Amino acid sequence: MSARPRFSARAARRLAALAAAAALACALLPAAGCGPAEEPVHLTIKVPRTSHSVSFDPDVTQIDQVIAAAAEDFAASYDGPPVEVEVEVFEQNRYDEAVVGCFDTPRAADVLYGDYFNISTYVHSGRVVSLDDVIDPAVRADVYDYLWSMSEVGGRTYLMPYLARQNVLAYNKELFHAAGLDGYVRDGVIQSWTREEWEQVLDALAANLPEGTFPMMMYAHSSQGDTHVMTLLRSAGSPFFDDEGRFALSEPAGVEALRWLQDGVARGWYPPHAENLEIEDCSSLFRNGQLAIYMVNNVSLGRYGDSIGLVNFPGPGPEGCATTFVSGFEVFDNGDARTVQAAKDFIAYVYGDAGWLDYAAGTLPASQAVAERYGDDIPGFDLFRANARNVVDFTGTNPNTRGVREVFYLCMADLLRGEATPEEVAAAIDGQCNRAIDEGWAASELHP
Amino acid sequence: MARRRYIIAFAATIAVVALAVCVYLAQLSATVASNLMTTVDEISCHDVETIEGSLDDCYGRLISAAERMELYDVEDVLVAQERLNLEAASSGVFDALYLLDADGTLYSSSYVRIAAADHAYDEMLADGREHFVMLYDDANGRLETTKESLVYGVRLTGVAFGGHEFVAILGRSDVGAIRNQLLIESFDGQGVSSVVNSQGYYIVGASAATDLAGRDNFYDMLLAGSIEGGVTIDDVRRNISEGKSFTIDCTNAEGEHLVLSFAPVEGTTWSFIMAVPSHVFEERFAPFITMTSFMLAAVVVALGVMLLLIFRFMKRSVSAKAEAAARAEFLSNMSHEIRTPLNGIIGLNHLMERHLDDREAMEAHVRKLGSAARYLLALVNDILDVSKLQAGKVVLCHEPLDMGALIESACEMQRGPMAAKGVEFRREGGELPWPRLVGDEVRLEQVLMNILSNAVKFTPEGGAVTLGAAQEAAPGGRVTTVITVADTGCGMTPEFQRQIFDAFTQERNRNAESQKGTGLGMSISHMLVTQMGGELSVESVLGEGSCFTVRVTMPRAAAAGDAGAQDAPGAPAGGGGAADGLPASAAGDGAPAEPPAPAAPAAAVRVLVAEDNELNADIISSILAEEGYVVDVAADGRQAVDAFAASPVGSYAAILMDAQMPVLDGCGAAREIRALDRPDAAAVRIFACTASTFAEDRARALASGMDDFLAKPLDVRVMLEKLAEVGRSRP
Repeated sequence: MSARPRFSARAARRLAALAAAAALACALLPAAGCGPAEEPVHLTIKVPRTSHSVSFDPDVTQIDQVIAAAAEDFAASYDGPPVEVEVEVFEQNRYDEAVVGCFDTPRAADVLYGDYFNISTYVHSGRVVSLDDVIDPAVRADVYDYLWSMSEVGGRTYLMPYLARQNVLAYNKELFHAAGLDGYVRDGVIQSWTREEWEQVLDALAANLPEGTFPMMMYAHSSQGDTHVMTLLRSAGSPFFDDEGRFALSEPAGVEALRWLQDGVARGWYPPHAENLEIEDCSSLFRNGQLAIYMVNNVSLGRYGDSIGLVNFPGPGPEGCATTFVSGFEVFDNGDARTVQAAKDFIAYVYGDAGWLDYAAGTLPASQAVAERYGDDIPGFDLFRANARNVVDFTGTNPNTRGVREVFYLCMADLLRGEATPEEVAAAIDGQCNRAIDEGWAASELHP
Repeated sequence: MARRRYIIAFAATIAVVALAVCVYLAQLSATVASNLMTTVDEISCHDVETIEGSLDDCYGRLISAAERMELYDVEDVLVAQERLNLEAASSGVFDALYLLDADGTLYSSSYVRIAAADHAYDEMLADGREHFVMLYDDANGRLETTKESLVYGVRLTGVAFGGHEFVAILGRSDVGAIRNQLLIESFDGQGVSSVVNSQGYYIVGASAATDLAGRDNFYDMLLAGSIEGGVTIDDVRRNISEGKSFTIDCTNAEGEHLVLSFAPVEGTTWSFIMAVPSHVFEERFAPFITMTSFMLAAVVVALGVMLLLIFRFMKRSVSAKAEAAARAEFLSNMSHEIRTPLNGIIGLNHLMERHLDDREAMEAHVRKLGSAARYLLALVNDILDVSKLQAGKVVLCHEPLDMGALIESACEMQRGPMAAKGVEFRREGGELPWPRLVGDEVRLEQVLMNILSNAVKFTPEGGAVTLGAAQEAAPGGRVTTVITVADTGCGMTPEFQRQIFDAFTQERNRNAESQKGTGLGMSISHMLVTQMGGELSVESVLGEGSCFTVRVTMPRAAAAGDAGAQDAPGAPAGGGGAADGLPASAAGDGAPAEPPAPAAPAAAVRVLVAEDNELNADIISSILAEEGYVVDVAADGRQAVDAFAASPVGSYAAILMDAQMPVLDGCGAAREIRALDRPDAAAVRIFACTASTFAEDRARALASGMDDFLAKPLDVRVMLEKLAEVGRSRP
């Protein structure tokens, strides 16, 4: 049983926020000349609990704070029908419960904010509406092109990018020095190492690090953080996806990358039995100074200060690669045209107000104007901006990201345990992940 | 008055019962609520046991893991952590395992080493306990997760390997992993269980949170709502921290009223909470209370009906007893009244035997004998009348009558006795406007005669009796006749007035030896008038006199061609007593002098007397013989048939047939005679002579073929008149 309790402080807070928004809306109705009898539009905005920072506003620690404030302003200033906005926060691993589980209920999301690799799946549910009609040409011109390409399906825009976080690898300078790798320690740059250099570094770490300290992250106990492991599979030059966005690890470069990772087990590159570890274990080891190389993004690196250096993931080219997590909005059609219009208008309101776009400053803003305004204030902005050319797409326009993630880590666990050869694992990943992708396309339905 | 008392008693009983029912229902509601709370407690106990069992299982798994660690060839801590890694991966319960070094360092299955200064988990066992469980809170030291987790710990003793001594083993598991095992719904899913720690954070029952920042807090829920009964959140917090079991009523932020039952989970600082919406209790009560209410209502109604029946039964019983007593007294009085004239008859018979030769004495004795016999007859007739009226067997005639003539006739018959007694008779009122009415003339005359004779009886010499008559129109072409008879007699007490029309209490109230008669006359009169739809009432002042009023409403008769109502069908042919239609009471007192007997037939007429009683047969034979009739006697019905069959055709002019005879009764004999194949079988006049004088007896006799009816004791004059008529009709 998983019945939600009937009393919840969180629900109470939401209710209070809703009541305040409704009261505010009602108070403004007479001034707007609206008749009191007009039925208000109820807008539900759902947001996963996500850490966030804003360079000019240290009080903001969660992204839902920004969205709730924007929603309140929107409700107060909307010149359409009276609107009641409720911002509901859900947990990161509850996407399906918060979105799919609420379809056709009063709790259905009208607007969803989240990471593309999670929310892009819902575009194929047939409920996410195209936003082309509310995208102002100026907005379109302001947003980085590479983000637009990730926001479109079938030539129509279903997602509105708000910000991005770039993921690269970080190394513990102290451990590197302890392992005699002083030459690899460089400040103020995102390095890129060749395969030989990587092996040199990892072998040196394995040989020289003290007991209980390990060279590099590796985990396969759950799907959490799997995109970083996927990125490592480009180390031998594999593009990972073919031109159709399907997994292509059975190609030699893919198999070679798998073999390289599997060899690392015997060469002591990872903590023992890494197949039983999760990304949070590696995070803890890295924070605790027990792991030399781990992943960070342009936001999280701030917590390590000057103790780390940055390096791109190995391959596929000499510059290495990085990944980008894009976060933004999508709008659902739950059967009420007024609500859909209000939701679209909310998106237009956020993107039409530079003030709300500014709240993306703290990571990599989708807006070039914001980047220009606050780039100097955003830690490592220039570094990551420059490294954007090495960013690879880890989604491959996958219509069934969740289906892929459910099988990928299991294949990697087999690899790390040595229960399967790299060829077998490559075949298993290609077969199972591509089956999930096929199922996703087969079930795909775009909103008309 | 008594009725009022009964009503008050009944109402008081109902009020007491209703009050008892209300008290019962209130008590019942409390009991049901208590039972439901007991159910809640039982569910809570069960769930707490489940939780405690789950915790014990986790403790056991940790101990087993520690024991296995000692079996491995562990050279150093890193190898120990590798083993922990494998143990955690295979445990199915724990996401991570930790060994707590004696120096305070925490070694995890994910190889993290947390220095003693960076955590406080060693303090969880500092109080000497053997194990603990807690909701993960990074305040005690950050572990490798941000998810809501439980941390279990078990003290280890003498466990050492890899050169380290370990004092505890800890396990961390995602709360979600056990949430589904422990979250138990009850009351058809309306009751929800949860578990909170002493800080109010949910271990089980809240929405799942994947990180510590997302945890719901029970106290926040209480803060958002309200607690009833003066209980504060601090009270709740204190009770939970002290491990108490308790219950509160509260309303959450959504306005839903809840009953919360708390039970401590042993070995923890947790409290199990069963939350049940109040309406669940009400829904559970409602059918039970309704059903019980209906049952109680049914019981009350049944009780009421039973009380009513018992009351009516008791009332009838009391009435029956009173009637039985009155009846017994009446019978005693009747016995006295019957024996008195019988005594006179026997005594006179004795005197007559002694003075057979003394004609003058004999005449006096014979006259007294006749008087006693007539009184006896009147008494019997009155008793029969009362019986018939009470049995509803008196059928009233509805024939045209002349009310004025009827009244005058009654007055005329009482003038003699009044004159003899020296009582003045006054007649008030003139001619009646509507004398021609439809009713039972005989019964009306009987009523008037009773009242008048009573007035004469109780009015002393020099007094007066006044009769008034008046009429008034009534709806539907009817006429109400009001007849009043007032006297200046002794009058009656109010008590006696209430009983004067009671058939069975009349006799005992007789107050003067001189006032002869059965005393049933008033009762008979009252019943007759009542049966006519009228009213007989009395007003009386003791020592001054009484006034009886007859009020009867009857239809008006046709205007013309109906004169001679006295001769209308249904009127008695002769004075054979009350059973034959004559007022019986009159027979005893002041009866008019008998007219002379009819003349004997000119030629001898042969009469067959069928009578099994030898004395009666002899008397009848003697009387008839003295009147010149030729008489043959048959001792039973068979002999009568045989005698008639054997006689020459036309020899018998009449047959006096007793109804009840041995061998063949009168009716049977009459039928056989009528069935004989001879010319005079149908023509011979057959008179029923029987002491069975009811109407059905008369009808049965006529139906058997008999022509007329002579009641016993025979009125000799009537009998001779009828036989004379037979004689005159013979050719």
